[in-house]
Amino acid sequence: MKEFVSKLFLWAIFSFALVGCAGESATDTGITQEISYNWDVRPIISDNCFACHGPDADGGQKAGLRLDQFETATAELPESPGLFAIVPGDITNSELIRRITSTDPNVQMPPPESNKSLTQDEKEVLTQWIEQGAKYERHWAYVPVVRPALPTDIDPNQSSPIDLFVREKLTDLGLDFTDQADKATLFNRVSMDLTGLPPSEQDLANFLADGSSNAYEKQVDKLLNSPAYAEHMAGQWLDIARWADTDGYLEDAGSRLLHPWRDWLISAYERNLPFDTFLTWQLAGDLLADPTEEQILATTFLRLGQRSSENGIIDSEYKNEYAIDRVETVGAGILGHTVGCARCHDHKYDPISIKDFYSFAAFFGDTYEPGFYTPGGSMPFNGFIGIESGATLQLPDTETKTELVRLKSAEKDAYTQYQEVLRKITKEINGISTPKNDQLRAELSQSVSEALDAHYSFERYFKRDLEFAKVKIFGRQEHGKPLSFNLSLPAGLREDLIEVSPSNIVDQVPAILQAPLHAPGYKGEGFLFDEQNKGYFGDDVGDFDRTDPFTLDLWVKLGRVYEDATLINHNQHIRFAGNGYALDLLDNHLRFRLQHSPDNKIDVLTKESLDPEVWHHLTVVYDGLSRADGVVIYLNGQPLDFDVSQDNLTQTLITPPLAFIDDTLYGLAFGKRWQQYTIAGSVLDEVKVFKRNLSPLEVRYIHDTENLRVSEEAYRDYRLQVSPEALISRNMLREAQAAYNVLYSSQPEIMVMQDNPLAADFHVKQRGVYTNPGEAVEGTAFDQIFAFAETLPNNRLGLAQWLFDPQNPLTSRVQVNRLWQSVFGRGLVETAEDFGTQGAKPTHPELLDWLAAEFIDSGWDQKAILKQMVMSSTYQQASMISAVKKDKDPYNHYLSRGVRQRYSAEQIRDSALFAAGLLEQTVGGKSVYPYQPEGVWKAVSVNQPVDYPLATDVPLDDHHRRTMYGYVKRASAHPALQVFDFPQRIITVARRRTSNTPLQALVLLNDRQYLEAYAGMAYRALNAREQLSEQLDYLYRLGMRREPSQNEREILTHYYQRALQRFLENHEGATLYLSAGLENFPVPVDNKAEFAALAATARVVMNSPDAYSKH
Amino acid sequence: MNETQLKNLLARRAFLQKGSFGLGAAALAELIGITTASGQQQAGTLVGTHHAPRAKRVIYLHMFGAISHVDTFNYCPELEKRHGEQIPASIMGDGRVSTMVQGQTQFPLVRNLAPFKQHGQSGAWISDFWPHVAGHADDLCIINSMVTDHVNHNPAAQFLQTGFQLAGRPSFGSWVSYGLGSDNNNLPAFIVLNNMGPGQGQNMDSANFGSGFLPSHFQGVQFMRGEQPVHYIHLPDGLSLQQQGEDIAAINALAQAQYGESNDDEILSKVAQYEMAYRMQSSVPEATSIDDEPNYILELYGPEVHQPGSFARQCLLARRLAERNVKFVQLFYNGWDFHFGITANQPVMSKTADQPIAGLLTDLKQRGMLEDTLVVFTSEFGRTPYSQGDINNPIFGRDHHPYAFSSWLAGAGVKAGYTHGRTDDFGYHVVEDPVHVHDFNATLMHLLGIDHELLTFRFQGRDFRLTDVHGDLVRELLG
Repeated sequence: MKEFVSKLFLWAIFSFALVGCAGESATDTGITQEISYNWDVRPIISDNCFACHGPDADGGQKAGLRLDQFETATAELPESPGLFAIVPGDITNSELIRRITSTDPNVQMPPPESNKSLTQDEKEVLTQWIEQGAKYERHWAYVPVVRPALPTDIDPNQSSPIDLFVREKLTDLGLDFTDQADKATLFNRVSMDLTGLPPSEQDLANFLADGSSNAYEKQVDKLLNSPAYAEHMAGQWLDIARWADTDGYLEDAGSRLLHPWRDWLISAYERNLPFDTFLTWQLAGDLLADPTEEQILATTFLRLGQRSSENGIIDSEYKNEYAIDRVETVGAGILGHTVGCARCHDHKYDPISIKDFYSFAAFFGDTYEPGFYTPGGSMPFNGFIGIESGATLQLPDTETKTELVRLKSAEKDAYTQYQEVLRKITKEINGISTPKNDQLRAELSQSVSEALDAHYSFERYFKRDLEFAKVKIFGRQEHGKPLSFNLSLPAGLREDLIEVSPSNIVDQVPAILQAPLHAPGYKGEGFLFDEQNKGYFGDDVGDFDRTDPFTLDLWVKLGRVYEDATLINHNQHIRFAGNGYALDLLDNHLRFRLQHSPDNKIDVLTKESLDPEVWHHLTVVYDGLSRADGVVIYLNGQPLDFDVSQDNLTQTLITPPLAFIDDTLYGLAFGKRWQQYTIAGSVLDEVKVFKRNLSPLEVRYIHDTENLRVSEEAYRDYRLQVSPEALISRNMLREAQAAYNVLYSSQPEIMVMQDNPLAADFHVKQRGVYTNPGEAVEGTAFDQIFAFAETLPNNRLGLAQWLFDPQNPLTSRVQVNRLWQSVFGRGLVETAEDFGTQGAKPTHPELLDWLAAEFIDSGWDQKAILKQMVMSSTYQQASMISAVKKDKDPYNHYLSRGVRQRYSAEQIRDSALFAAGLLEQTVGGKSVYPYQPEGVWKAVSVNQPVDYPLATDVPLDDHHRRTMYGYVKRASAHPALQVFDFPQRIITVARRRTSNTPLQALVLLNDRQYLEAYAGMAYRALNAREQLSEQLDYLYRLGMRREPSQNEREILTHYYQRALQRFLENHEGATLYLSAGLENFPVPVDNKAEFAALAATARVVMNSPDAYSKH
Repeated sequence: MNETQLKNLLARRAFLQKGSFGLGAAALAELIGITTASGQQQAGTLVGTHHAPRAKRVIYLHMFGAISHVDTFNYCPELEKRHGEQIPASIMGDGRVSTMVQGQTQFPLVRNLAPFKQHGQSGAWISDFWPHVAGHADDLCIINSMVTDHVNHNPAAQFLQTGFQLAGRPSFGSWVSYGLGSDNNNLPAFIVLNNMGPGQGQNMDSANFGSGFLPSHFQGVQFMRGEQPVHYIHLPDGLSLQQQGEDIAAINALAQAQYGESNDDEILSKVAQYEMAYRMQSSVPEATSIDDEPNYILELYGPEVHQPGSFARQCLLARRLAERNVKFVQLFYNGWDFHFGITANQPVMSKTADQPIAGLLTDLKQRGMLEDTLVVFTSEFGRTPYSQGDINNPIFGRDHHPYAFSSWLAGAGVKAGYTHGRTDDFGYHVVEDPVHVHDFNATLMHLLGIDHELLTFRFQGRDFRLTDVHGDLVRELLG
């Protein structure tokens, strides 16, 4: 035992103070022999016992024993009365001790078949712990942050708090800080860490010359206030946001307009938005009171996950996937928990049940978003063309914005005016009495026929000259005017099967029918549906936008009950957003939709269903005001009750020009359409279209012209609506609305978050299967980690409030740890994505908590925290590794020296472009397509021949933008970035790997992007200095931001001479060597060899490890 | 050992072995010389193997998307007899079925889609979809009793390749190169060739050949199908290979100066990567060109070998890489996921695989390489003996099936001409000698001289291994 204790003692010194992060012993700062549940015991029982005796309630604990909590672990064993697994303070009566020390395979724990076994030391830890009373502690990361006292053994005036904590641990190890790095190295380091870019020559020179005591601080402030800082920080957040330009699933096509969000992100960092504001906007900006455009735009964060536009997918399955993606993003990216396994079963190790998981997913369960996305523009450059799916935000430019405001107010004025007119007429007709029947009928007959726009009764059919059909039915593509008058039959129509049936209105185009079947109609003949036949009324008929009041009227005799079939429609196929309006049957209930996109629409379903085999007279009236209560559906002249499933139509029903569509719209249509069922066996007759919303009286009249019973009220209603003055005013309103609608709908739009207040309940998906719903759940955050207060709303805003409750143990720790990681290369908790019980433990728990408290108290000020970090002596140490430290602190876990680590993919490329003077430092904007080997995209696009643009088709400057602006295709990473561990951006990544492979050498040696940059460096050196030795020094400084040592100078001079020799002998080779990139460096022919030799020397410098490593 | 220790160890070894830090002409000569020198061993972490290895290298053919065992190597005459009948409830039990058939209430049995015949002296049953491979019946060690825990592609493939269903653990090939190092100084130890056949594909996660928590240079290096098998392998225009060598010598000289300043062992490891990159520049084009292959060899692999990027070409490349002592060559042949249309598509897909695989076996054999090369043929799970979708609709398929599937081994150290394990008459459950994925991996490791329980890596406080805490060597498979 004695030997064990001393070992434990040593181990305690070596790893970290055992206390301070664990509840009750937080004030104890000495080294202790007390066994800590968090640091000593849990790792043992978590690895060895929890699989059978852990929190996972899925299969039930073996023998009914649950070991992860005091109450159950010390209770009487359900299957062995009188026995207790743990009796605190009493090892002889603790069954656990008997079991772990037994050699009898029937008794022994863990059982032999588990292939798990405890070491002697582990057994001793458990024994000691029970002897000491078997105290359980909450996992360190779930204990609220309490600002720890600063270590007192060092004068706090001489060091920053960070240094006090770090030094305390180093002292325990018998180590001390390494000396401060030299000024040039330090400045280079802090510049790369805060901005991702090296310092300019001028800044470096200024800093070196500045002898004032706050010279360094001045530079830090300058860096923190530069746009490059904002870009660098935004670039890191893009990993959390799993940001990419493409959809991801399947063919991974679909450029969407997303860069405005990236621009917002940069500006948020530039303004140093407090982290709570920054994140609250991203999670719930739309739910804030009176949200600003910016707050709504921020929520694009949650729409950045993968999307599917695969034809055959099941909508609800993918909606579920998207909700889960959001849980995992917030889980790993913000809460530091890999929660994915809880989608199928209770988490084995962390207190997250499957119910907790889906309760969290419920925050996103009512998002306006389809499972099936409309494909975006598939070709590079085109960007998104068409109708964006789900909730969107329009992004007009400033000028258009002003115009929209003007149009909106004109619309409001027109509306007020219309109301005014109505009030006036109401007064005028007040007291007017209903005329006698004959007169009334005459009046109604006239107003109805004035409103009539089309009438087809299918009485006669003709084979007609097809030229006629061609002209009339083609070309409906753009607002109000055909895009093309191409005289050919629309795709899908067969000449030999076409018949036409004339309109009852003189000079109106006839109905174009394909393979019609004839049957007795409501009056005379009707159109009989089979599985394939179809018809159109031509593109002039029923061509309404959401601002147009209109009425559809028809008779139909249904053949049977239809599960889901279309009756009559004027919309695009659902794959192309279902843009338009449609009357469908769902189990013979009538469904009427006015739809911009699957989540921007009015969608109603009648409560009553239609009987088969009888004639029904259906009238659908829409008042043109974009609200569900402006829809009336009449059956035989009587309005039907309906349920509203969506009521948020804000954009046009007309498909934009050049949208990516297949099933072109020819006009009001019926019968077979792609992937839709028809009402086979039904008969359609007497279809009428009216160009305004008929009043209830008119509807009753057209249903039965003979038997009219009319109340005074109904008559006055009718008179009000049809008075010429009202009609004129209504038309002015329509025009004002249309002007706004057309301009508004044509603006670029970005996907944002919005909830559907009418969404159905959200359920647990048992075993992770979306078709296997369990209990209904409400939006609740991980309650077992930190209680979700009942006062919080069960929506994303509640989530944000839960996150930023100062008692929430995770939010601050996780983010501050990531900020630490971004400057120190490694988090205080190495597993930045996992603060759960299986994650790494903090190397400096008290420092982490101190920083977390500081972060909260600073008002979540990220710049302030970063500044504290880089101002610390800990940060400013030189990175030279002494032999002693290599031995005692081999991985620099205890920060006994400055960090050495390879730069990120972005830092490597950006700093090379910077050194070359090529970096194009425009902030923000669209994604660009820098050099990439040809054919990389083609290799992954099986069906669509989409390829990366040729380098020569890309504007030259775009090859030189910062790496964060490069187009990210999820299925095909840029190969030169991927080898430097640039993530795929499919899931959130809180910590990148830092790998080291020969493929990286190939990039830095051979990629044209870099060869061009080396030439740029040579060009700068050639122009800046005359003497060779100065040119070489200059070149070295460009690459390394420091002076070469004498040794390095010799290596480079020697190398340069050899290289010059070979280029002098091979002028052709020099020219080729210099023309890797497209940038033209105007160097006289005579100097070609020198230029090439300098470029080759730059290549040597830039490939040396310190050039692409932080040090 | 953990990552940093390991990096240091490997870097020091690389340094000691090659000592290429020298300046000027000496270093240059050595660098240039190295391209022609037969490779010194780049050691792995194991000082010698745990026991004498039977296999020096592996060619691993993963039929990704899951091949149907009852249409390939598991002959079930009962299926023929009871085609169209419901699978007996006693057989199916209440085992989990994949989501794909969750809406299905009928589970009619589907016959073996091609006739089976016995082949070779061993009389192994092989379906007519594999006429060429059948010619190697006596070289094969067929396992008809494979079992896995997972029913969807990615988890199951990860499970097979890494021993764990979620991404993040090292793959088989990574463990092998971590343990054994490389026998070739000019090429990566672990090379991956991905391919999509004319069937139904599934997304391939690169974690299937990733290094997980092992240092990343142990991950599989994927060779592309196009003109450039490795991106950026082409020298800059105007530069010769020799000049590239001079440049790298200068780079390493600077690196040495930086090492002197910093004492950072990571620099040594970077130097090693540069040297490897240099050697790859000549060895990769050479290894991946088939210009020197005579016609009679090309013919072994079938006509598609002439199409760059075809599976046939990749089988030939696998031999060429194995010949150059690449330790682990892994081919993922994607396209076997026949949820529907299996009757029409299975023959097409099999045809593209049969002759190339048989050609590979023949080629290895006639060079004497089958003696010390282990060829593995498997997929992540099997397919259901019953129909997915309406069996009367010609486009029916077979769903995922984890309870029984087939694999085979050939070459170094395996019991040739042997069929192991048995399922019930329907190919549904294993009834004799189950070989769980962990057992399978333990056995492959054994053939390489590795005790699967001893090759470990400490990560987050735990010693991890490929087989997790499971796996038993299946001695019956050893020759």
